Amino acid sequence: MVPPPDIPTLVSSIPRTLGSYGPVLQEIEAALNDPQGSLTSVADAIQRDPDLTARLLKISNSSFYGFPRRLTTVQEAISLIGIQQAQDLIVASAVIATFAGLSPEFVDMRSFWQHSLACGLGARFLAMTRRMPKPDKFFVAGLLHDVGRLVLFCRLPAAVQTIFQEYHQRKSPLFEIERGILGYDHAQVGEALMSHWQYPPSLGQAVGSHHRPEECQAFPVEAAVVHVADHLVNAMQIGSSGERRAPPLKPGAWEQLQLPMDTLASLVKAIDDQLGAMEEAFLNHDGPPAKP
Amino acid sequence: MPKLKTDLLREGMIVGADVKNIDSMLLIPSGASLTERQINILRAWGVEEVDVKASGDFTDAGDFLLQLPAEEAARLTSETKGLFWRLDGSNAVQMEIFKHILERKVQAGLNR
Repeated sequence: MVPPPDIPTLVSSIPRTLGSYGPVLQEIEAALNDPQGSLTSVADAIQRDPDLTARLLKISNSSFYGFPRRLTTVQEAISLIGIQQAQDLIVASAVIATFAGLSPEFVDMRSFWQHSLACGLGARFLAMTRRMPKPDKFFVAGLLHDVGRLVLFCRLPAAVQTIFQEYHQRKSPLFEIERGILGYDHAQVGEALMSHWQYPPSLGQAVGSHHRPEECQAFPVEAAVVHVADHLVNAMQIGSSGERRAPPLKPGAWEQLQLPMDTLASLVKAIDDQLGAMEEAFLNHDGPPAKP
Repeated sequence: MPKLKTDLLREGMIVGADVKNIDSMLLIPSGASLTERQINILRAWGVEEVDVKASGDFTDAGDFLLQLPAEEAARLTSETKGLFWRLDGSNAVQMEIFKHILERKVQAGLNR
């Protein structure tokens, strides 16, 4: 087999395409950077995209936020969830759209994003329960934790074929087989992609260390949150990113979160309760088709 | 330890405390794995409820398994074990997660 390319070469070929979300994100960035930035200009930009408007209202009205009354306008939704959170949700939509054209040869894309959305919900729930600031950042980290696998699927299909063949023959987690064959795994590729796309380092490292949270020195809690959420949603069998079982739970990962054990029951329930609305919002729309 | 109505007892359930008749005669000792014959004996003596543990090696998994026939409980437990790589029985958090996954599976089956 031809030696696989190194990680930076691999991810440098994946452009950060924002598709039709570009103008809205520019407007949001301007509003976030401008102390006088107005909510109205962001709301106007979002409202020019009917698909995005529907999605934002759907999420804002779901149990994800749990507001006591129905929100009917974009402006109302943004004023309650915050511009930053709206930005996170739109970035998440843009990433899903980036890989929308990927062939289902290795994994069904809907199943992939179901797994990812569930992991995002789990990570956000853990962060909220631990009272971490900006819990929506954890949703994005969970949502993107396996995005490196999509890079492998579209850039190294022959190697991925070999990886899956070995996965079905050997009794080992998929990420360990990736490492054996490529010398690196999807988590490391995901971290490099986050860095290439200039996402914050906390996001990149949470993605990069989700199978080895104990090695993440700078953001140990972020890594542990995604690790635990990923373990759980794999065991819950909600979609799949290629792996069919829950990867090993690292000793000490849960303890890093300093949460009572009964959080686990609420975590399972929160994921089950919120997933339907998130699937509806993120997966039942036709985003702008693009092929990386 | 849960008490179960005699009508709900199933073969294979583990008796959690000695079962005696009104004359304090031992009918079934604690720890016995129930047979169909023993369940009939309990009915014949008018024993209304019995302390039980879950069946076999998943005693600690949770009381929710008691709602199921023993074979079904064993099947679901085995299936759930298969959902994990390297399930670490000595790790309390891991076992708690296992319990919740199994319970979710049991509930999904009951709601079908």
